[in-house]
Amino acid sequence: MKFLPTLLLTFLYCLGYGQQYTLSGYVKDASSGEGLIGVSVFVEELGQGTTTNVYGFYSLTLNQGSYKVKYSYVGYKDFFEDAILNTNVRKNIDLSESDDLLQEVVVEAEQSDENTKGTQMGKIDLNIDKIKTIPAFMGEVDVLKTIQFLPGVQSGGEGNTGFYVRGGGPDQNLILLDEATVYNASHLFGFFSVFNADAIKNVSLTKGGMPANYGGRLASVLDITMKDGNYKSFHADGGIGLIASRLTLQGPIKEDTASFILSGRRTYIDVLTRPLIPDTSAFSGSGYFFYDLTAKLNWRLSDKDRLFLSGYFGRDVFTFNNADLDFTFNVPWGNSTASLRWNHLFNDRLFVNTSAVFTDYNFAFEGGSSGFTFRLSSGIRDGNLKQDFTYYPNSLHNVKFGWNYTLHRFIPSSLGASSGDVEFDTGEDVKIFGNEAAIYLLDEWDVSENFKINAGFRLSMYQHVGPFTRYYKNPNSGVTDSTTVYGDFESVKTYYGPEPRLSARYLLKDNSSFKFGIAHNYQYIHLASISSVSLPTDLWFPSTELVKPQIGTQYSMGYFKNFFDNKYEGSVEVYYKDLQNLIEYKENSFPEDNLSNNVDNQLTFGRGYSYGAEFFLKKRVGDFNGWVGYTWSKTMRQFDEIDDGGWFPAKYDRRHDLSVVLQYQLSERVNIGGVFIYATGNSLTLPERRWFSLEENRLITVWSDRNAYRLDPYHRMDLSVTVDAKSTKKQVDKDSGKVNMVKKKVISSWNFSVYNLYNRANPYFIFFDYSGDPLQGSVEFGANQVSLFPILPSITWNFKF
Amino acid sequence: MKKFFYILCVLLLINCQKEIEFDLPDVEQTFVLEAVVESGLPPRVIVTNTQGYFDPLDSNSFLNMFVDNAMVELHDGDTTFELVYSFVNSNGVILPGYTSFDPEIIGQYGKNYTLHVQVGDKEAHAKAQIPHPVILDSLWFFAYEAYDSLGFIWAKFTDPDTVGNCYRWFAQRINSYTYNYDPPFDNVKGTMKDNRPLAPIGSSTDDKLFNGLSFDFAVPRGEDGILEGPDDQGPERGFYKRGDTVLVKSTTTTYPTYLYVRAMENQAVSNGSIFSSPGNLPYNVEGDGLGVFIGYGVSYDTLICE
Repeated sequence: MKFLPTLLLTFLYCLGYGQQYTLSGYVKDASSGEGLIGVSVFVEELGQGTTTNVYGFYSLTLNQGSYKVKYSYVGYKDFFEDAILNTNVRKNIDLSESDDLLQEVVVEAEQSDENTKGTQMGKIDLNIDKIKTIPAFMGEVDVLKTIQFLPGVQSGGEGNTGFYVRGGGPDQNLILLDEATVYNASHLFGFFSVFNADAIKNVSLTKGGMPANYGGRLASVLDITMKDGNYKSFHADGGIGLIASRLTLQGPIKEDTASFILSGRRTYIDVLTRPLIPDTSAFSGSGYFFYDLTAKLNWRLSDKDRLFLSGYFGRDVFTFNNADLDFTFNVPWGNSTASLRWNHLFNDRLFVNTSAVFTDYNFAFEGGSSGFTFRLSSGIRDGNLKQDFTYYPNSLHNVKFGWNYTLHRFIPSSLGASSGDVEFDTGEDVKIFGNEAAIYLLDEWDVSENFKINAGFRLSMYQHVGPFTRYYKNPNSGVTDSTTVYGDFESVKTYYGPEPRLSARYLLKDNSSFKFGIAHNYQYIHLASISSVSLPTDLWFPSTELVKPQIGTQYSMGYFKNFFDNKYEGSVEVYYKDLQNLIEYKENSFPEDNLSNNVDNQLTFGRGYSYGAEFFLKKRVGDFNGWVGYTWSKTMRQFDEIDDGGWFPAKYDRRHDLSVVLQYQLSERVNIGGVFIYATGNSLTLPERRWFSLEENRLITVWSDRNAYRLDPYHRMDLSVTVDAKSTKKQVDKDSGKVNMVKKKVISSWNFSVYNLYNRANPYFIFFDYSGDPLQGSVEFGANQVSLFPILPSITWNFKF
Repeated sequence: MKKFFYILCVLLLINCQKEIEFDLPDVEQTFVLEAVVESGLPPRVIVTNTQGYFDPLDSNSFLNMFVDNAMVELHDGDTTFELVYSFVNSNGVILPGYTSFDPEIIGQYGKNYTLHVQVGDKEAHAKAQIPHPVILDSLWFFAYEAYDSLGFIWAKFTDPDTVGNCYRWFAQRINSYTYNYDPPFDNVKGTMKDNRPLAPIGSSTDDKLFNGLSFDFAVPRGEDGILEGPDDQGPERGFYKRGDTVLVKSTTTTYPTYLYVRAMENQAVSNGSIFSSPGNLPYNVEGDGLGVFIGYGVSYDTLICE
């Protein structure tokens, strides 16, 4: 093992061959000082270049000489710099916004030919400012909803938390907010995401070949970077909507050295409904609200060191009260995250980010009636340390390596209950501790002018450690036959996961390219759901000796082409994904079964596969722009204990999925956005037979095979109009009497949205009922579809100063 | 402004509901056993056939669901009894089913029973036990102030200090209605309120939360399955009323029965609910058919709600 570091250093040294010098620095927004992510730094005479990383840093090592370097970024004016490389050069660049900023489309805040030239398949960056003109539910701008308009990314439908990528479950998406894992990214059962768009700088989704610096999930990475805060001057942004308002404050603590951003949001459904529920009502005090708070501080400690401290805190709170029956319950849930990051430049070619991250997610259900009280809760808490190195040996290689350690603490289920003075024996809180660690190395290598690869390897490890009690249950009596007790830090089970990753691009002559990718991933945590849709009640559960790590292998390839001078881009991607060690609750499992028991005793294990083809056509620029995405896919599951081991469609198996997103800049101040989506109906288990229990006088349902039927297709059209108020006003010069146009201090806009324009009744769930009177001897049985929102107009006023 | 807020709330909370149809294929039907052995009573086995879920239920299809040509044998650990097709007394309701009039087969505490059923060339078998009963310490009625004379029955109970005990609660109002209700219940005055002991939702539990403890608990009034009674809607639903005379039938049972009853009651309240997944019941009948074989160790008590 001691040869490994030597081998690594030799490898890195060999990459940095020849008499070469390095051009490096940070690229920032000229007006705010914010670092810009993904800026193209390109030397045209060599046809070589690089892009800035998530902190805005770039490094380009070239042979000695003079070069004209072009810095370009979507929405910003190109910047040219003459660089004389006879020594290492540090050059920080400030880019100014382009005048025709509004001409760019929402997706891909990166260079115009990245579609064909990048090696990474299925990676999409969102332009956060432009998301704001897409129609949004109740006018609340939502990054999670926007990515669901992309091919290969599916929504579970209204009222479902999470999203589904290429046949993967919602737990298989790694959602990072400033490198902190967010376990539940939705408010109000999935109607809103927890991310306040005003505080977000960049959103990047990787759904194809995941590079080796990411791990721990099988399907995708949604990497969200918060704004740093304006280093130059104080600003405020906000919006007042029908059900929620938000406010963001940002500014310098010390100009060009330290900045802050603070952003908050709260719904006022509870406040609005309160006048409708009189104090005398038995239900007085019932209500729902959510809020979130995002904060970030940054210091540029020196030319080589930067420090970032960021955090998120959000809660949903649902309260029900019935005073007459002395019955009340309270359901709070939410995430908290904190990230402390330190950027350090060892030299012009070696960049390192060191992070300490804390993540916490909790769900609780507490209530009581007539002296009986109970509290059910579950949660997950992570402490994470990591270092990510980026080494730029020369312009042909971009090497990343690093390590990552996470201490997990899961509380799958905790219950307390009492009746009067008697405390029920709910057993000890089951806490599960796990060590998760990984090391990785990857190289993005320009093998030739046309051929580029991104090859990497990640070695991950998960260790379930004590304290832990394993319960062995008698299946006939439910009684604990025996237990095995593990002490503090005692190893219960250890897994290792070798994860090779490879993606490659071959550039063809006609501004098109062919790409392929293979990714083999391990995932050591799982989400188990008792309900038929994804809810905050879903349980995060780690690998144990019974629950093996989920393993996913994805093979994908695609053809990418840009047309008409990169104004249009298109792609066709196909993929096949194999999934092992998936989990489901056994039939007839109930939350109370977790008491004095291990949750994994209620689980059953299986496998799955998914394959599909994704088609994407986008008009990138112009007054009229947008995209069309279509996915054909098939996703199946197999569990030995479900349907006698037969294959069945996954609940989010969807044969057809079409999204059309269009925007039209009607005038300088008026933008019209429209969205249409169509998706095959969700799979569904139906009652096929019934029998009448005469002992109970109840109709007993005999269900079909799992997910053997389909709901009606889901389709919907939304429309929005954004009208910017005039940004200038007339001002008369007192001395000359001349009328000047001056910029207003407050810039505002109105957003009018209509959700579900043609009032489609999309299925949310189905329930089964009968009509008639059993005593009269005639009963008819039927199925009823419940739909959520009908046509729903909304209006939001956004402001900035 | 208030009206505007009201409209907004309605828009937010509105859910559109419509009836839909599914084109289900023909599915092969099978027989179902509902068998009960109960302390102090002869066994009862009701054999019926499943039906298509969306098939209408009328008097003809109700009568046609009974299977009258089954061969049913019950073994009590010593002797095998052949049960005959007759009428069985299901908690006071007379139904077509299989039973025996041999006094030797009357249910006894602590006995294990094995059931074997053959219908044509299809066979099924199941096992059950009648556990020893656990007597309630005391019973009382507590009326809620806000509801005047309505309330729940409360009980004090001491669970034996052995894990794995399972229970099920039934109760029957044996007094009569003193007035009529709105149609179709405009002729109930003078009739007994419940014609058999009824189990409320959540009627069964095991003792993992309260093993060996002594505690008080409240029980709402159960309904007779899908058969709606006069006071099963409106403010009286789920409540006992001051003046009711209640026969409480508390039973001990087995873990498989607890699992079955819990799932059956959950299905009754959550057909299609998003908070549960569709799942077939944990039947304990093995072989070709579906169904359940239950043993109850029964104790009775009577309470006058005052």
